Amino acid sequence: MTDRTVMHIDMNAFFASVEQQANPELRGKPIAVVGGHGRTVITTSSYEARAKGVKTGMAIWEGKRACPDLIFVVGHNKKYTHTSAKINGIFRDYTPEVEAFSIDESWLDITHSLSIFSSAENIAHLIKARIRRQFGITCSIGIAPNKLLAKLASDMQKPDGLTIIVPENVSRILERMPIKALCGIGKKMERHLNMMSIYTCGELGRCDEARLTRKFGIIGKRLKDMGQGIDNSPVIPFADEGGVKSVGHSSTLERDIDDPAEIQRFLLQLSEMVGSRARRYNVSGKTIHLYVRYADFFSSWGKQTTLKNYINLSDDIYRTALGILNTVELEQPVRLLGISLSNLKHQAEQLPLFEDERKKLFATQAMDTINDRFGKMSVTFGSLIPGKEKQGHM
Amino acid sequence: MKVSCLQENLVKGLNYVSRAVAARTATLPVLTHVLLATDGGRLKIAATNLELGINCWIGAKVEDEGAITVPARTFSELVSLLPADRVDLELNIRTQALRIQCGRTDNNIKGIDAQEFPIIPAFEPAGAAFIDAAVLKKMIGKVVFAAATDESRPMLTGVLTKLEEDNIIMAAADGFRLSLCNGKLKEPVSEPRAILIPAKAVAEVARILGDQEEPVAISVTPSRGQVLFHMQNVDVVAQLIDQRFPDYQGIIPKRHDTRTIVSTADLLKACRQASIFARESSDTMRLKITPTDDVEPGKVTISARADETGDNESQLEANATGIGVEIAFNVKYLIDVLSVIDAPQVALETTAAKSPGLLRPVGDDSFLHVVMPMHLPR
Repeated sequence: MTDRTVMHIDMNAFFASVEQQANPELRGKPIAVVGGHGRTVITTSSYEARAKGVKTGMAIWEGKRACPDLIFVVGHNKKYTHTSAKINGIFRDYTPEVEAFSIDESWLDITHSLSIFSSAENIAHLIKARIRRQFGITCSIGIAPNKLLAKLASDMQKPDGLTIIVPENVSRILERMPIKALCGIGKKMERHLNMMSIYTCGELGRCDEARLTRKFGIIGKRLKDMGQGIDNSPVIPFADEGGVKSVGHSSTLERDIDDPAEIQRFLLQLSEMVGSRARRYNVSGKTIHLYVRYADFFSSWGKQTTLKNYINLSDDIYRTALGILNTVELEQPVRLLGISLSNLKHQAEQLPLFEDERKKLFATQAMDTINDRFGKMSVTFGSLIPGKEKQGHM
Repeated sequence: MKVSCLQENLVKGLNYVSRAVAARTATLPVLTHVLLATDGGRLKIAATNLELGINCWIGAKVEDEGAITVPARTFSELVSLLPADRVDLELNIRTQALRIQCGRTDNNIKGIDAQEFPIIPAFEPAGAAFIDAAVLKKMIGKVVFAAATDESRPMLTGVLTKLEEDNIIMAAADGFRLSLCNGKLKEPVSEPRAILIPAKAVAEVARILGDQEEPVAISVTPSRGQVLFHMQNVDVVAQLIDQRFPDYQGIIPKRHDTRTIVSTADLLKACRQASIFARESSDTMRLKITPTDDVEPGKVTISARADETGDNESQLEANATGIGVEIAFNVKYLIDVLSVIDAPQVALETTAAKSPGLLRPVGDDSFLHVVMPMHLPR
């Protein structure tokens, strides 16, 4: 692989920052985002709260004990995914090769952008400034020759950091770095390696490959590479607008559902997510795939149908997906649902002749415009508005 | 069966029925065959895929009456390669094989018993409507292209045909455009009829009408399930679409804010140029209409652009009344309709950029076309 420049960007205290941005009263104060719906664990907290010892994963009472004036906010996933999508849009201004790792982390391959923006550092500063100005969020950026090291670099300085690892320094930095700092080495793996008296990346890199392979099988080689800071995995753009092959979305339900009305509501919500994305890409598709995973987490099924015409309106997607669902007897409560639209073609922006279709299209476009401006699901189908959900502070 | 006919007549007959032969994947093998049968001193050639059936008759010298079906593809391929000479067809009843002799070639093709071939209804003159062949051909040409080709809404794959007194109206729409044409019958029909004929069958009639002069008879079978076009030596029978065609009157705009009259040929030429550039941008063509005022004549500016290809702009002089407007259309749709308008001038009536446009040939009330615009490119 040729020399690459990869950037890893990590939004600092993302959920908390988004909440602070949405509600100015929360800015500069210790806040903790919690799951809501009876959940009592802190998902994330602002840097003000972290300074007082509040940690992710703490129960609410633990957070209160660490920081008595901690403010609790119920999290809103839609708000985060919307902001995340917009931020990834900013990244795409600098390179088409953007891989979203999670809602608040992305990799950018900027190898071919350097000639336009003079240096990686410059790109990092531009991105930082734009995200701060537009969303009031700070981020930590790591720049390195590959994804593994870029992620390691961004973790080295938080919040609002910028760390560059140049190839000459790789071995020096890794020599004393604890192995758990590497993305991909979790607690369990760390314990196993510690038992082999491997504690630092330097030790891991020098370890005999055969020894690692005997213990861990085929990933042994990968582990040794990681210890040496070698990572050839490419940055895979999720979907560049030119070559979308399918548009899909799946989501794990908050709890297992067997009520058909509730499943249908969820299906409509997924249809709207898939539909709005397809419309944004200006594509419509002929094939709808429905995926269902049951409560036991292991059994699942997927089924698809191909239509005679191309669709991208949420309602049409929903009706088709529901049609598939109705052909199947559900064996268990449902845990995960997914819908994807494929067999795509570029949608000509042709208005329909018949008035009822035109009304449906104009209504959808109005909905998309509002949702683009004010966040996903600002306007949605009536049946998707839950009666009991409450927002605000606890 | 023993008959003789000319190779060129056989070729012509097989060509007439070819589009009604079922695809080779058909469940009934006999549908991939053509029927050859002696019929009143002529040879009848027939094919059907159960939706569309075509009978045609060619001159022949009949020695022994009889009938057989033979694989359409094999038989047509062979006949087309025979010399332009007399062809002798003779059926061996025991083996159900058809012997085909012509010049110094001798062939045998295995057939299927003619009894297995579905019956294609015969023409009954009672209650039929008669129309001039040239008029029907022209009318079909003006509407059939607007019918839908995808099967998602079957009613849009048909051509609505209304017969009332001595009027015939044909309409077709594909969800983005509507073509409407009317004409005169030779004589009034006894009762009004509205039928939805598959566009494929109507197109087939127009193809066969290419070299016909005699008036065409249109009749609906007593079961009302099929329509029959009776032409000189050819009958086309089609299964009607048993669905309601949308109310087309409601689609035709009742008013307009701008009426633009331009030369049909000039507009067509400008559209063809624009289409070269529009190919890469969903065929979007932009029209900017500047109305005629006291000083300047009106004009239409036609443009198209694609990021990769480049851009194009043409200006046409126009007699435009009303307000100025900018509107985008699918350039292919405009080319389709302008190609069938034979009046020297065409009028385009528009209201807003997201409202339907209406095209009419100037001085000819027999035709109109409604086309929906596209979103104006940003």
